Amino acid sequence: MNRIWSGIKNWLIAMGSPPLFYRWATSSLPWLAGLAFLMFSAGLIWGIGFSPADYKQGDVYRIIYIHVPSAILAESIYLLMAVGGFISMVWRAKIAGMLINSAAPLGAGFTLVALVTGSIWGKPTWGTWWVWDARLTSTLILFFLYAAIIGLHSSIENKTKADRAVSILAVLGVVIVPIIKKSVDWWQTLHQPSTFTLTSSPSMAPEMYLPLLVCVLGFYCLFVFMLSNSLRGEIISRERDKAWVKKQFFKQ
Amino acid sequence: MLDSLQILFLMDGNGPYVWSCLLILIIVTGVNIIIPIIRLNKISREGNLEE
Amino acid sequence: MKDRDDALNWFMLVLRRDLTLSFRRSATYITPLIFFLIVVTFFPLALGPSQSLLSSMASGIIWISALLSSLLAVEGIFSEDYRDGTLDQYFVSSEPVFVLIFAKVLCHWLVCGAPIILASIISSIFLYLPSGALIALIISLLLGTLFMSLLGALGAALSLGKSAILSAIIVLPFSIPTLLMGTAIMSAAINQQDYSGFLLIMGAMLAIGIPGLCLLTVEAILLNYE
Repeated sequence: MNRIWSGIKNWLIAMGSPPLFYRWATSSLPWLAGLAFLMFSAGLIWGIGFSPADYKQGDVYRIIYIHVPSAILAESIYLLMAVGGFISMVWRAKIAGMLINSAAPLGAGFTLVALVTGSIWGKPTWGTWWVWDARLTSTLILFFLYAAIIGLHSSIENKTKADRAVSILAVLGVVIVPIIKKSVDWWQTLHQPSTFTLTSSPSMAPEMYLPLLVCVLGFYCLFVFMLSNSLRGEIISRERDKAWVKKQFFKQ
Repeated sequence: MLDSLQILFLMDGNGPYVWSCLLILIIVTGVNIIIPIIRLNKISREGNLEE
Repeated sequence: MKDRDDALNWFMLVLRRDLTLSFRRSATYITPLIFFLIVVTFFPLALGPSQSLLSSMASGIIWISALLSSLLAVEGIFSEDYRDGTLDQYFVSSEPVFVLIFAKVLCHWLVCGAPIILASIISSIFLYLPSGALIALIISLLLGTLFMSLLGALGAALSLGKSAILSAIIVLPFSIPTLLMGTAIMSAAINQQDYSGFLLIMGAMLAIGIPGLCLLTVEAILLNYE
């Protein structure tokens, strides 16, 4: 057990070095892509193609297999960026800053997908493209937080400084996000007209729930692939005048 | 076979909603995968020129 | 014991210095007031002068204008001191810097908060705010603008004073809890309910925010010195 833990720790510490991460990412990329594609498409095809129709919403509920995993991933990526920000602030690890910069557009993308699919789902079920319910509002605010991080990083010329600034923002953000969500929830109950009820099924049949789990796993695998792909590129573009880049990347 | 494909595609008139969601997912994911690859290719082309 | 006296002395020194400097230039405390009033005026212009409409939206409009005004007003808080080297002195001194940063933010709040409160009182007349809510407005805005000054200082430090709009994008999502609390206090006051619970929550946010945000602001200012 201890051997496994120290093995994992050593691997994590090794991954903190840009050249080692680059080597690992380059060699693993095809496998990660394959696994991602497999899980992702398996979940989606099962969910959209083969799960039974909902008795209230009909077939439209199938959007859940895209909307829910995207929303889950949007939040997890923000958490990951906060961890990266913490590591960058405390240990000044350069790769942590690069991680934030690579993960931010991915997180913003998933948040956007969650928002748009949520909106499209709302049209046939609630009758309107947008409604200020607690979940959609919090997701919109999360999108603004991502936009702030991306905007701040791109506005600062010196990228090491930009990493540090963005780390502060990410760490502050992760502390505030639960507060924002709580206050938006509470704002909802304060203002919600009592006639309006959301069509969400709190308990789903297993035939609907299992494909959702597979989809969530598939999205996570997809994210690992996308992050490795993006971080690999970020490392090269930042460290391009280093000796190891000249050896490993240019002299291919 | 064609019949069930038709049912899958239309979903009782809700088809456009579900398929547009899938389309958006594929577009956003695709863009996020392709942009780093393009950047990397640009660097590898530029880098060799510098040297 | 002596250490604590020193820190307090430095705090008062920075506070007094900033207050004197701020009052020398009337622009510092007049512009937030005017900006606030202009923004408030735009709402009836855009939405029509109907008393019932404006009255129902008054607390929201006043709060949003207060947020924007205090955010924009705090933009230049560090730029001058950074340029003439006073900020360096703060870092070189043996006092905890976040205490001195808080002195700057407090000064800014004292100088700009009063005009904003005055502007909100005037706006409550322009927007037909129900009369029972005026006290609640003043109290909630006092707490809210302090929190906004803290957040705005962090935003100014992070964007290195370059872009006000970027600083706004960074800071505004974090001010949402304050906005929700403040407007909740207003609705409670209009409906003549007890709003002391909300005040306690805002107080708690300040209690955590003052040390936390000042510490993060110090980190952010240090970015300038790389």
